Amino acid sequence: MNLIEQLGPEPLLVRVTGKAQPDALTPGTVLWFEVDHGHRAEDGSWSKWVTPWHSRDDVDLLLEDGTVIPVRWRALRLALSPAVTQIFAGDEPDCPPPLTEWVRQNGGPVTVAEYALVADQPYLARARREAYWMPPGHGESQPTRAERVVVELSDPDDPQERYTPLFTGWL
Amino acid sequence: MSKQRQRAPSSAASSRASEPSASTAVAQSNQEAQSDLSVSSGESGGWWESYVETPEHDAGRSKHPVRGPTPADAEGEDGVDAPELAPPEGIHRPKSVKKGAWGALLTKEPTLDLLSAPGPDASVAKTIPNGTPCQVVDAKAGYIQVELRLGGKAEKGWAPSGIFSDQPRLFMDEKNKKLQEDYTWTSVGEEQSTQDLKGTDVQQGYLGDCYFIAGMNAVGNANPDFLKESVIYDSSTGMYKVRFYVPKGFDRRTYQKTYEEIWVEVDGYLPTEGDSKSGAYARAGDDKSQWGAIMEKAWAVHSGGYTAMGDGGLGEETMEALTGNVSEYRETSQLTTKEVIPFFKKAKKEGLAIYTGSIGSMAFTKQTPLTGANGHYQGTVAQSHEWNELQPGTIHVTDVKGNVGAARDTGSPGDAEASLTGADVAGGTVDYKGNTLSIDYRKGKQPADAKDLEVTGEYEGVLDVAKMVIACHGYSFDKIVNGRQIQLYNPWGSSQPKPLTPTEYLRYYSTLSTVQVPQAKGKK
Repeated sequence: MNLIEQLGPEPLLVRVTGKAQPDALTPGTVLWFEVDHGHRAEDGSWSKWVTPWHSRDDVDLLLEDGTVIPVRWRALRLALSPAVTQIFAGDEPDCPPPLTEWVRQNGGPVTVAEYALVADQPYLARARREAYWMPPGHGESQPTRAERVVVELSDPDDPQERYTPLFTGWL
Repeated sequence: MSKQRQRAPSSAASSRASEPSASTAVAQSNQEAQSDLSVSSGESGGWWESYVETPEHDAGRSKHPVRGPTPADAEGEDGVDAPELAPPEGIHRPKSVKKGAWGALLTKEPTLDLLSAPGPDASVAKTIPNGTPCQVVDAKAGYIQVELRLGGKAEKGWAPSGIFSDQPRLFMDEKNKKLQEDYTWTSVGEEQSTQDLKGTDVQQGYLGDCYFIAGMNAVGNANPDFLKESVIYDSSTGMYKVRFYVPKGFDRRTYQKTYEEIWVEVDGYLPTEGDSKSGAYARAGDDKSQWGAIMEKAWAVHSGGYTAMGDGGLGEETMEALTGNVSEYRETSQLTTKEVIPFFKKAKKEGLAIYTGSIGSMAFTKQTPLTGANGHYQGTVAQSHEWNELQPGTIHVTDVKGNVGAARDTGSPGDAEASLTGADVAGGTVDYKGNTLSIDYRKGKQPADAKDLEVTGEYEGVLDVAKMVIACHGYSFDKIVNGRQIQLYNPWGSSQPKPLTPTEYLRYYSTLSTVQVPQAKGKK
């Protein structure tokens, strides 16, 4: 069964389980994190960024009926608000040197944000297909349109239209 | 330890087992779908025992020592009845074979026999092509039971464990359930040279990893000498070592990321398609060298198999893994047309690898392709290229004179067809691949003329036929043409885009990534 068959066609409330790991920017533990820095607008969109660090552990989705659905992290598509944000002009004494340098090269301010999946919090999960193209096979003239199944996770109380930077532009 | 009659077709002598080089950081293995029940060879008395070892082979006659992963008897009998083995030289052998491991049965002959049971006296159940992909499902007394596909059917059979070579799991998607039987693992032969490496050498195959191939091409284009140093061939073992940089740590206080340089060891066996023996995945370009396919295989080993690579990815992740430097990513929308050419020129001058991704679909508007009357209408939405398909969830049918209400499709990405819905709609369907739709309005509702019905939506496929820009695809930057146009490179090695003006580039491409490629060590 693929993820669409497991999750069903409609968005579903789930919880996430997996390997707890130290949060990248705060003292807590999370199941997944993604740290980005760059130019972030007030509407939450990013125009230029770097993702210096993110989890690489797969997670499990826990359904209300107890079903556990493993999901490779590469099949995740997160549409979340940042759990943590911090803005630097670049010249603050506590601004980390890599961010000062980034501001010097790209202009400021620079926003640091962390997106996270945490235990015991409900998420809205929706399986969907992503299309991509592969070249024509041997002796064929047409490329192959293929699809992969991915799982979008969003906060039911704060749904976002955009994916987090890490999951933007996957091909 | 008793000697057994040879079952695997072979003409060459086997050799004594030996340890692999200790210098390899990461060895070829497959990391997914392996049972936790298995026990590594390092554990005495475990489910598997390490090596084939027969007395007459102690002299180690072969130039290329062969390690034979041998399962210990499941019931704990003393010793292993390992058959004599003669796998080819230069194949990767697992230290222990785990249940669920993916790989191939490899001998020096074109075919080999699968047995009906473990043991030398078992009857032949099936003769299979050498190099057939398989998965280990059981083991007993020096034999493994493997599952594979032949003739559209799943087959099981036993074979001496010594001819099993662990290989990354092949790519399988929902539409290609039979893929395993279409492929064989085939040796690329002699050393695959990187001598003439350039950023247009590698061509994507039947695997959704344009992000990897294009990222690799981007690095090769920026600094071929650096990429050359990423692949080392060891003529004494026939193995390749491929260098990657993997994230090691992140200091939240200093905001510094560290990388670890790893070398992934793989053999020179690649998945090939059926009888053609053509590369199934990455293929050689002009230089005819398969170095790119070797690198792709090494990344598959590191990532958990070709299937995991097919999950898609980011070009900047690839470039980061190849260079050990953090990639920078931007939306092209932040660039103006005047900034595009200077950006690429500057990046090229600074030695940056450049990767860019195209948008997923393009809008079409105001097509009036429908015919019909009396509330029943149908038609085909004309497409500019035969590859193009309608994008589910984007289709709207409106009456420009407002006699009937608007209709929209109910499809989601991946749907082959869906219905049309709307206040005045009694029924209707959209065939996305065939680009056709039909719509029935409720009794008493109809447009004054079929031509009043306009269809709008989005299509995917070729975004611009004249420029040959493919949707949802990764490209590497090649060069600036005539000082005012951008030449990108399609990792397919075919369907190359024409040079793009800045306006065209910004219209069709949404993401842009760069990374600093280090100097080759030999150049320092």
